[in-house]
Amino acid sequence: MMSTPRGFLCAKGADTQRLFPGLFLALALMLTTGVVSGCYSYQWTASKAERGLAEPPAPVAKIFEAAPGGTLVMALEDPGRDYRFDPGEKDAAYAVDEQQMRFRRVEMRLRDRMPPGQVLVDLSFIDDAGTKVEARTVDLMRLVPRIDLPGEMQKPELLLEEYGRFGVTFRREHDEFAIELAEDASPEMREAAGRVYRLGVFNNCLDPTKWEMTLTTEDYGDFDARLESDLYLNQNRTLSHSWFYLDKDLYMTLMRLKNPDLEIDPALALDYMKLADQVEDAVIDFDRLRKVHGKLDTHVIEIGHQTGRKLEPIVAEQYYKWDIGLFVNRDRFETYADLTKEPAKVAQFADRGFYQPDHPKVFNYWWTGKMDRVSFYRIDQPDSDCYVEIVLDGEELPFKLTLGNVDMAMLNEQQFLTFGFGFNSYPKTRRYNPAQSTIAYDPELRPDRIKPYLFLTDKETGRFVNNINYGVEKVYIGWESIDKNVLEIYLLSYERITPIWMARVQISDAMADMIRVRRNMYNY
Amino acid sequence: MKALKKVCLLVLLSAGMLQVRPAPGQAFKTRLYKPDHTFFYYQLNFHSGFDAGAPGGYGLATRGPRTQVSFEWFVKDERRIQRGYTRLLTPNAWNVKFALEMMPQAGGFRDMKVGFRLLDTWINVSTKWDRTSLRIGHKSLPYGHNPRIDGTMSFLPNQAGLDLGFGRDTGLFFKTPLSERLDLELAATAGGFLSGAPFYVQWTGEGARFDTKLNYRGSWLGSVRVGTPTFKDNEYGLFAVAGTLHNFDRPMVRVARIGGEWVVKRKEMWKMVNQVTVGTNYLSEFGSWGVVNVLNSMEMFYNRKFRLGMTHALHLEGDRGNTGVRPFKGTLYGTVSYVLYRDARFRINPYLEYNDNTGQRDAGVLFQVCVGCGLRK
Repeated sequence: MMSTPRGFLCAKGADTQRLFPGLFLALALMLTTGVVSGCYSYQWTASKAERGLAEPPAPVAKIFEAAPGGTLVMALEDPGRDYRFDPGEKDAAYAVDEQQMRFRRVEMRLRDRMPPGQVLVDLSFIDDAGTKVEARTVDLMRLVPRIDLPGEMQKPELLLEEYGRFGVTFRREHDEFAIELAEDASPEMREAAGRVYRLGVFNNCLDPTKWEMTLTTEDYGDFDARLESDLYLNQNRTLSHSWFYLDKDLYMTLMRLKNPDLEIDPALALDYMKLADQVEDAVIDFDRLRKVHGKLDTHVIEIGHQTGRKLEPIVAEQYYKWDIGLFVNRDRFETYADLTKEPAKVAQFADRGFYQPDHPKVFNYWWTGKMDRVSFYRIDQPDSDCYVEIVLDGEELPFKLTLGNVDMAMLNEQQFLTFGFGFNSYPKTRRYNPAQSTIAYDPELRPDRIKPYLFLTDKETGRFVNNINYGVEKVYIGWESIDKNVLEIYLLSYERITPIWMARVQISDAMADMIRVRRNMYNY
Repeated sequence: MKALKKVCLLVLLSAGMLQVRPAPGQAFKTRLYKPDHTFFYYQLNFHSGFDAGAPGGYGLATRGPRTQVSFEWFVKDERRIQRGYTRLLTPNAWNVKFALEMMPQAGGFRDMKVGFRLLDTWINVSTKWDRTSLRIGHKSLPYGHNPRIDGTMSFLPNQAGLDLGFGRDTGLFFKTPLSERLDLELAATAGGFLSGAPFYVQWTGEGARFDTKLNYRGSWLGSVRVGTPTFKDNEYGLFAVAGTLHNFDRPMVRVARIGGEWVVKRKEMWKMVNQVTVGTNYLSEFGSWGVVNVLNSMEMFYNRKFRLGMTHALHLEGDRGNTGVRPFKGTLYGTVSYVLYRDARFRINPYLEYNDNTGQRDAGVLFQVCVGCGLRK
């Protein structure tokens, strides 16, 4: 059947329009099936374990009943336009008005019925002009830490949970919050409200029971120009940022409800200094957390302070924080090696939760110069052989850093996977309605056996070492390229203001292949 | 025609609203300095040996992946990465992959054809909902699941290829969860119109001649699968396909199938797939007749260097046109894959057609070298 080349679909009198009816009918069938079957989406507050809803927990109900009108009202404060040290870009309408979009009051009303194990409230953030930002059926348990470890390890875990800033974001495109503008809202504020796409509520790290809210807008004015640049700087702009103290009794009640088997006094969460004094004797018993299967064949390609690697921001957060001067003596440090030679001064949080560069926190990162060993171990897990433990160490270091239950198949080259210190610590921000499980999980839904952990421990005694004393707060890891065989590991400073140590490690071909197999077999 | 395009666009947009795909993990932070987001791969696949079922016996492979060179461009959408979320739906990745493959002829190298075969070529559209993908293009059909341990240019067949004659098709594909425990996959495709090698060049005594097998005649295929999500160790699924399969110049067969499957996976070490389908074929000259297919497949990740696999496929047909003939065929495929280095495999691929109603008992051993295997998207 030889012929000369013909145009696409033109051979033998083919009728191109015959292609469409078949596809069209099939697509209509797909749509009908989708509509009839319903589109399933994970809803955090939908009751799953038990059908039906229950009364709110009695201790919580009692607190709300005691409040006037059954509504807890808490005061917010925002730093305003004079405060220069709030990282990130600001919306054009940020703090331009003394009243509008300056949220000074939060009202919290308890729902009548709720799924067991949850505490549902309606939240209203109200500015002085009368504009309300409302999030309904919010589970407060999502904003309270869970203590997973047993015995004496609970104190370090509680401390590290409280030291962490974590929270949830509500998404506008899913109608997870709404803005009700004041009747006399200005045209500028009406426009700004239209740009809002995220509401964030966070359990702040500075002070016990200190929480915060943010409203984030999106600005695509120079988005295309940013696409042309070498940096991933997105469209986010802060419109409002306010802090408030949650009712202490409510917080303690929530802590007890979420952690019914707590062996320590939850009230320790209200006194960070007291808690910090009590944690240093605790031994972190890694054998109770996992079973190591064997050491993996890896090759350290680079240790940043040994190769003269330039000190650069690695995510936008550092880019903004350096820009507003939170790395106070930044000009003293060109390379990672420089960090080992003289103390670094970074802005610290002060009384109201705002950065105070005038009174910096000083960290001596001499120890990063001694950290020159990176070891990988396979963890025995029923799910996969891609879970590893990474140990950062050095001959002259008195302590070692242990990061475990890292699923290597979760890593990619465009982003870093971030870990906070502690056991299954919550990431800084996660969605209020979590993404549906794949091989990745929201921390609340993760099976116990694969919960990640990150601790500094004394090499001789195995005792907990408070990482904040050494000015290290997070570990970021990610593949160097899509080849997925060279891993980049970064340690981040207090408040994630700067990276302080980095390494590049090549994994074996067999491990790289196993990771590919995991993605192909479980995530296709 | 314009109205049709508008309707198609509206339907596509509506389809997007039903989609759900994974949101980025909340513990992730996008790098400040942009990594590469456009990637190019090539693959060389040499596949040859003894095949009793092939003309002349020895020569280049006429079953499994052909001797070929393939090219692939994969793009992650920079705009989507920078924005960090999908408001409603937006393209987030593209892939173009095609191969130039050797098509051995009865006359040997003298009459060799080189064909153009479309492989995975698609646009992926992300949506604001979780765990759903909407893809437009040419990709594998949801005719059962058969995840691979050593998948690139694998000798082990899928049931779709054995039964329908093609495993990939061109059209619309989407996947969405029905519940926490069930996923739905749907595809509306062109019935194998662009499968095989729609273009080829043949060298003759008069020089190279170009030919094409493009001739769309109204073929189509609808596929649906409902089953447990892929991240489970045990996947159970039911699937069905129906349509009219493309044929260039002969009568087109109408097919309808319904099937079930059980996929067992243990870590990354091994997997087992069991699939059964039953259905009918229809041709106007013969009427309809029944078809049964059974596929059992096992693959193992054996230490650092070896990947082992075996697939058994059984195909039974009813009497077509009251001839008294009931075609059946049973074939056993094996593969032993040795990792030469990270991106190269050497494979020994034996097969045995142990039963065939025509009395033919074919067997063979093919040797395969694949360079550029193991891409890691």
